This record gives sequence, C-alpha cells and structure tokens, in this order.
Amino acid sequence: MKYSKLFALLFLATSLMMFVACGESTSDSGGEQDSTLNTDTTSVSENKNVPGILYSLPAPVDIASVLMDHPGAKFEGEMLNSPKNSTKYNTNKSLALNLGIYTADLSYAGFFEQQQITTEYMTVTKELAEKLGIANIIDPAKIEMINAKKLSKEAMQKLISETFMNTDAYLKENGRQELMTMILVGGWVEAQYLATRLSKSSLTENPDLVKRILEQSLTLELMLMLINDSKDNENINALQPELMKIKLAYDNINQAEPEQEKYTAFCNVIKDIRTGMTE
Amino acid sequence: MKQIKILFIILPIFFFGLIQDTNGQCLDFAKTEGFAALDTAIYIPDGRLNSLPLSQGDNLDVYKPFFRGRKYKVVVIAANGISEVNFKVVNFQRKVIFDSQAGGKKVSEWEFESERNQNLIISVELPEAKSSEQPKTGCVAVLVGFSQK
Repeated sequence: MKYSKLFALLFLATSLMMFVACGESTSDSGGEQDSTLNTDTTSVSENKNVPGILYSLPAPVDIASVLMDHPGAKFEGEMLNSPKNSTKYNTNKSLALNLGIYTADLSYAGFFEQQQITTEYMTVTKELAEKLGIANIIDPAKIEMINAKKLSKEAMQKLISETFMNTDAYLKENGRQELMTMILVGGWVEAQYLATRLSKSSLTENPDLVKRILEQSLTLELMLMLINDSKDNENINALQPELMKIKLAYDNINQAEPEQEKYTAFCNVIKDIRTGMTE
Repeated sequence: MKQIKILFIILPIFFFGLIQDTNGQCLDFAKTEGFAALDTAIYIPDGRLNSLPLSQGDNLDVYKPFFRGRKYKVVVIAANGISEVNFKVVNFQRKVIFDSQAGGKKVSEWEFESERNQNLIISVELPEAKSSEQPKTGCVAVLVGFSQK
C-alpha cells in the first residue's frame, strides 16, 4: 500500500517535470496593428491547449542583414568591440551579453565580406562560448574555411547562421535558455549601436538606415515580452530597466516625423547601454 | 526504507534524462529535415531553432518579427509518424494572414514578401488523435529563412 502511494507520487512528480520541460511560457500578448498581407479575416480562437510559446527573437545575423542591406551601408571596423576586451568578461551575464555583441560584430563583418575580421571574431565567439561551457559549437574547420578562401556574403551569412543555430540547440538541449536570451539582447543592442554610429546620430546622413533603426522597435516589443516571461531569472530581470530606457527613447520619437534632438537622445541611450555591457 | 530513498533519487534523474534525449532528437530532426525543406540554396536560415516535442491535440505559438521588403519562407515539419500538422500565420489580433489548409490543399510551407514591419504569430496545431487511437508525440519544428534582394 505504502509502495503504491509512493509510485503514484513519483508518477505525478515526473509528469509535472515533463510538462515543465516541454513548456516555455504561456502568457498572452497584444498591441500590433493589422497586416497589409491579410488574405483572410477569419478570427482564430484562443489556443486552448498551448504547451509553449516561443519568442523567436531575430539572431544577430538576421538583424545585421536587416539594418545593413541597403546601398548607403558600409563597413567601419573601428566601431566593433575589440576582441582584446574578451578577457574582461568572466560572469555568465557578461559572457553571454558579449557573445551576442561579438556575434553581431561578426555578422556585420561577414555581411561586408571582411574575411580577416570575420575569422578573428569567429575565434573570439568560440572562446566566449567555451567559457560559458558551450563546447564544440564552432567547428575549427569552419574558421579555417573563412580564413582560407573568399566566401560570398550569402555563404558567410549561412555559415554564421548555422553556427548560431548550433548554439541555440545546445542551450535548449541543456535547459539554459536564459543564456540565449542574454545573447540575443546583447546582439540586438550591438546591431543597433553599429547602425546608430553609421547614421552619425543624424536624421539626414542616411535616412534609409534611420528608418530601419526605428523599425527595430518591433523586435524590442517581443524582447520585452520574453523578458517579462522570464522574470524569475535574476540576470534577465536586470536587463529590463535597460531595455525600458530604449523603449522610452523609442516612444519619444514620432516615427513619421522624427526630430533630430530626440533621435540624438535615442542614439545616446543605445551607446550608454552598449558601453555598460562591454566595459 | 533505503530502497525507497534510492528510488526517489533515481526516477527523477531517469525521466530528466529521457526529456533531455527527446529534446536532443527533436533538435537534430529540426536541423536535418528542416534545413532541407527550407531550401538553403535560396533562403538563409534566420539563425533560430524553434522546436518542441508535441502530442496530437497540442498547439504551439511562435512569435516572430518580419521586416518590410524581405522575402521569407516559413516551414513547419513534424516527426515520429505525426502525419498531420496545420499552421496559421496570424497577427496579434489573431487575424489570419495565411492558413496552411486554405483552398482545400494542405501545405507545410509558406513563401511571402513582407510588405510592412510586423510581429506575427506562427500558430501550429496538431489535430486530436482519433478517439480509438493513443495520441502520438513527436518533434515539431518551425523554421524561417530569409532571402535578400
């Protein structure tokens, strides 16, 4: 009798564990405008049995290509976070944020087919990943491939994207999604930093780029939803005030008719937060 | 009593290992089958791996931003004998933009060009198993690729 109760208890406990492992988040959301792509206006009923919501925040390689894929974009290597700084990062938080930052730098260099810099940043991301216990994610042969021959922009992006997916997979497999959240936040802040620097904090220097920078409020919206759902994690929770500063700076700007003063303030917020992450 | 204590320790470890293994297989499946379906010769994978082990009758929502002027391919695949998986792409008001079952022909992928910046939800549904059958569980993966002009 005692044993049957014990087994029932164990069954319940393990069932609960399986449920928790499969689910990621179950919060609701709202607030986006209608799409111009609508082909049907049928209403979808609320999902009754949702084991998980996944926030698929863009990887740095995706963000870099969204921001840089226009004729006015160019490569300026001095803006990147120096690989020499990598020795400064020793906590999980600083390692994860800067792994994201270096991945954004790597994606930016790859986008402009900067062979040597891409190799250098691939190596530093490998080092940081290993410090975080993410082993064998970056195949040394891939680094060698970039180093040995000139790859096209697309080939570089595919290689970086696949490497990032391996990191994503590894962290999911090992139940360390909070690190991926920090990597994505770091990558997004860096991509915004690079873009605002390229715009020279001016509305008129490169209006197309400014438009793309302001459109990134969309990603920030999802990022805040994800962070709100991960409040239990101290490191992730600590990022919320920083991201809220960016949100406020975004909200101050009238996207249809941005004012220079407010755009400069926005660029400064991005710069301060990026400095806080890299120093 | 000692045996009971050992049981308490071993069983959760066993089940945790089982869950980890299921997730690992799920991710391997997403990478192999998903990449092939995505057609990486044309589309660059967006760098994210959205996959979960799901059972028939479950739903999964993937929230993702899409940017104007870019071409995308969304692929939804399922493993382990789950033959039917449906998906809709909806906005935050749950207005349907794409339905994989529309027009009476079921499809597992959608290619489109985003005309504006928008956060969308890829809402995946595994239909219930027939009442006479045990629900199957398998990996479901949602992959997105983009192409530059």
